[in-house]
Amino acid sequence: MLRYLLIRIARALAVVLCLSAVVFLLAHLIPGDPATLIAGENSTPELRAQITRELGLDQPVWSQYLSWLGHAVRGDLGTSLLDGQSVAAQVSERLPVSLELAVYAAVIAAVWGIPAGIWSAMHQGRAVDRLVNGTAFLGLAFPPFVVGTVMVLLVSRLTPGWPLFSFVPFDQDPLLNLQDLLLPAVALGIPFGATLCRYMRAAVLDVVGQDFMRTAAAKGAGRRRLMLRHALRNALVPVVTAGGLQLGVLVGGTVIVEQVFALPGLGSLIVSSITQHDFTVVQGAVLALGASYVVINLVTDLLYPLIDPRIRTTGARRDG
Amino acid sequence: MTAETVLPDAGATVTARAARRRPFRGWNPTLTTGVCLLGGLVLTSLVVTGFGPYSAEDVGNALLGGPTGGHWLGTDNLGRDLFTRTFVAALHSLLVAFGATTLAALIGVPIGLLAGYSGRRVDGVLMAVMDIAMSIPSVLLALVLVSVFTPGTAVLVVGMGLIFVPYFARIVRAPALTVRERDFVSAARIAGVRPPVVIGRHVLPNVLSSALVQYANTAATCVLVEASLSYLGLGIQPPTPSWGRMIFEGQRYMAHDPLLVIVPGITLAVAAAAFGLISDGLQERIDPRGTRRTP
Repeated sequence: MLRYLLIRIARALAVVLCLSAVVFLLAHLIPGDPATLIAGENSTPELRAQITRELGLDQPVWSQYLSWLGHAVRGDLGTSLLDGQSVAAQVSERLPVSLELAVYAAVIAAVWGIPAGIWSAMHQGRAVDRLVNGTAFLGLAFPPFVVGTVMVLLVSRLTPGWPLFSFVPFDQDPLLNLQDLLLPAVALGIPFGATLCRYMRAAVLDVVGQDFMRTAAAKGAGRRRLMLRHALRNALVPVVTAGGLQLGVLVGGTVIVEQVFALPGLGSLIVSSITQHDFTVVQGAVLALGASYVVINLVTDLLYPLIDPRIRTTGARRDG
Repeated sequence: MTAETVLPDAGATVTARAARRRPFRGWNPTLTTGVCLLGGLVLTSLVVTGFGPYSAEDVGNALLGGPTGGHWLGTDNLGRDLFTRTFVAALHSLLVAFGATTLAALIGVPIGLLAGYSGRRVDGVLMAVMDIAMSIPSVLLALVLVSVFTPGTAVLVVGMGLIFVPYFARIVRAPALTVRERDFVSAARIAGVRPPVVIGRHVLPNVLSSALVQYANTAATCVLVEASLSYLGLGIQPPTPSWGRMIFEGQRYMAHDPLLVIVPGITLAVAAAAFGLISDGLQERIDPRGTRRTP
């Protein structure tokens, strides 16, 4: 068990480290000189040289990376190239919005996707199964930004009073906050739920065919007990892993959905910084979003032994 | 029962029996529908691009005009023909999807074969690297890539191609591992056939069906990712039309003319669904028990 935990934590650290290196190195390939960006096109070469020295840009890349990483670990992500604001402050202001959106979307996805998958598997081959399967299939074909755009269109036609493109923080007015995030969360939750639905259906069908299910049925377990006690718990194991991996898609989705609904999250910060070539902000924000995804993934990994006791005893999961 | 039976990353748990079965025989409605949809889309966009009365950039007098005999689906805010733009966009989107997926397959399949065939140490190292690469959300990676290089079609193809390499490596590795233990592979090895030839002649044919499913699957994802990036203004660049950008631009006028958003949205979904159907159809052939999809 301890071994399992340590491996998972080491892996999460490795992922964050790699992400930071990729982000940092790529940012260094950006054409254009940051000093010129700060000082302006018409600045003197002396001023630009001074800024380059102050930012440490005359140092070798690896030493710049190490110093950036050292600061990042202590919560200092540098300052924006454009307005000199602290990146960490901007990130910490916006990260909660993105996380809140991702959590709501995940809840909506789980609420519709998992029961639908089970239901569909229990009626394999019948009309219900085809209906659910078809819906899930369509859910996968429409990206969140299309779903969101169509929802904006419908809502503005049908209920003109509904707040669109606004955002109120949770601690100011929880009810308005929920109302603001409902549509974005649904737009993101529909495709994600479709993924969960398909995984769940496949997992249940897989479990139902196993020997222990026949044994349980032969021992006189009812259909209800058979499903709830024997099938679901086993079927959930792969779905949790698969769902955990798919959270990356969800995190990527928040970036786009925030843009559709003009939400002040980390994603809209990343997109606006990219268009403004403010790469210290891009670095910091991408690292923060990536790291929070890794943390969520680590949590699902740690939940694993709760669902599958075999991990507690053997201390290892058989990876493909 | 092991967890890996339905794990998407564990991928194809193709048994020896399933691998032996010829995957392309008989009538498969899912596959047929997918191929027909994709074929129809490709054909229409070729005809529209080649022989259509308008080009995608032709500006007309009718601004935001509804459907007429001359403009089947109406015009956008600059008077450009929506029908033409949608299908010219299809051509570019599909080119990007095919390009990126092919690149990913060309790099990923050899890595997967090498990992699966050489076993233990090489396998461990390669798969650890692939796992880490897969752990970074692909949209984030794509965003960072396009932010560094000037956004455009070439950057999209290379960037997305590299991002999807691990998916091919992973999906190919699993059947490669099982084939490695089969008698005909041992026989070839004992007979003194060199490893590259063993991999090419005996292992590769047995992993192709899994790779093909993954190909269709990745192409569907590429269509969606490209559209999302173009929506953000970081994908295909104007004046080349793209579904994502058309939706973005149409949003401002959609209260007046909803077709501007709905038409590219639905066509985009048709393209993604066509690849999805092909992937599912092929998967049904290989493993008739259930369907699964990975991004």
